[in-house]
Amino acid sequence: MMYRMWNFFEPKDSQWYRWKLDGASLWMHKNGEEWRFALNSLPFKHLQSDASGPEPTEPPADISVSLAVAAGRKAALHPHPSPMPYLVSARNDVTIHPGTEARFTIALPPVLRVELESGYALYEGSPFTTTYAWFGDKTSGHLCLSLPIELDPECKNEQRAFDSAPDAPSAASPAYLSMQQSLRRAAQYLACQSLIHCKIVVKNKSKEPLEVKRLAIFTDLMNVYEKAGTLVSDMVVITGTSDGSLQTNIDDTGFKNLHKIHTASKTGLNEVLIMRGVSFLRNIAGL
Amino acid sequence: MNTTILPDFINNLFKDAFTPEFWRKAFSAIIAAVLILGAFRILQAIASRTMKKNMPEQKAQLVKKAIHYTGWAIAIISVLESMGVNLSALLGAAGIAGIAIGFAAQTSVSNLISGIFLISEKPFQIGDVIQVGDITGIVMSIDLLSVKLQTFDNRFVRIPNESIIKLNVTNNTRFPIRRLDVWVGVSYNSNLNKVTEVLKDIAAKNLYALDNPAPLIYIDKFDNSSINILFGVWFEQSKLVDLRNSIIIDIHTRFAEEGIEIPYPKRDVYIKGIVDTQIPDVRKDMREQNVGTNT
Repeated sequence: MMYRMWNFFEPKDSQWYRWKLDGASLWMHKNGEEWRFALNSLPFKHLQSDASGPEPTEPPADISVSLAVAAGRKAALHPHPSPMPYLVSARNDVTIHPGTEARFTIALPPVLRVELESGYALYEGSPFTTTYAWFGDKTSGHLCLSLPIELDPECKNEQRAFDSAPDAPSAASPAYLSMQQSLRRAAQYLACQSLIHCKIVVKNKSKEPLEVKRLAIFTDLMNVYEKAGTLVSDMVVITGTSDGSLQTNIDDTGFKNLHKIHTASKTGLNEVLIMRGVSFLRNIAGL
Repeated sequence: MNTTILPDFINNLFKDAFTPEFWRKAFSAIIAAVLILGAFRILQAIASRTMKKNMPEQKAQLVKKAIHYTGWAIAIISVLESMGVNLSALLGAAGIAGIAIGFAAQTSVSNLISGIFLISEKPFQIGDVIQVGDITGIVMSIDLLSVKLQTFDNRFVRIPNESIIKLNVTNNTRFPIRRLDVWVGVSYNSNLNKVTEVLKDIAAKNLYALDNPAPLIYIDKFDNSSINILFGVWFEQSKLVDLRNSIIIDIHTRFAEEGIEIPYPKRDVYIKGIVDTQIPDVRKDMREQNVGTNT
């Protein structure tokens, strides 16, 4: 059952258990107060939808094993957003004109922790490896996890089937094939149950068009919930304001009835400022 | 003992020595000195606690030392005054001595003034990695007369502030990201478009290379033995060694896999006048050998 994947369970002593994580795997073994863990991670772009666990299994071969000593009966695998921001790029630059908004849905690779009921973390690891990118200018900014996901906006009154556009190119054209490949990859990521699905809304309330080339998603205010076996986070709302700044809010109203797996470390308004003429980003957490 | 050549206060000292008045003065002077030093010690502790939160470390150190030396100066002056020393004469003598010392201490004074400029200008701070001339190290302290560095092979280097003011100082850790420039030479037979694509792929797959800012690939010039390309990869400061080692290995391995030659320096040499007279037999032999292998 998928619901078991993120729930507490009581492992039998001297039995290895395995979680399949869309191409990656995590093993766990308990023997009294000794806990052993092994993680087989893979590059984010190579993941394939296949998530299940924890299932009894054979010991992992040729992987280094970590040990922890703790008293506890039940443990659970809990995903958390990375403490480092995620950076995603828009495909072909997205321009959002004043008074309009665009929505994006992306899947974020989590940091996984095996936790006891007391909240103590026995093990922490990242099942998916990514490269890094710098968000900011050369004098200051943030180191981010670079996700090979191309943002494809969902707009009002948009019909999702590409072919329904009146001037759609022929199926054999490179543009069509590239678009379909990108949509297929995006759908592949969204089908993975060990990734955190995150909706982003970018609203332009300023008087100038807003060009979205890259988006940095800061996770300080983000909660993570479980929804029918899928991991979802709060909606990130980015608003271009009339004074030229970008304001980031977290909308947690949609998931209040869901089981919360991760609670954000901060609460409140998260304001991201962009200085004109210099792509410098500063993160200020308000009250 | 003939005391006529000694200053008055020394004369008085010998006259008054071992009288109860003398001991009372001495005791008072010592108590005053101890109280003054104690007060300045307390002041130093309060200032230290306050400055920890509000001031950079090197400025705080300077202020603490200033308080310390001021306390000693006041204590010494009050002891001398209690003992009946005429300070105005002393100050006059000190002025003359100051000029003499100034000539002798030009370098130290220059270092001191340079140190003040360094602290106010802040080209670097404690913990930064700087390069001064051929010395690279981590800044341990910025003092009044010198800057102390710890090199990466764990040596201690003291650089006078005057030298730092005069020389170019490179601060390697001022900004959070840097670019590693690798010069790659490829043979004239290489497909430059393919080389460019391979280099981009190498950067994309290297864990320590940043995707953004994007790597720089700059085809520089046609050199004597090769076409030179500048391959610049951005990285986060702490990953210099990891990136440098891995990127060189990646370039070497991928170029070998893709058949891209990194040529050795070479020269084509033509010898005039010898070819026709001395080599013809060799040429004939070579032709006969080629015919032999072809059949």
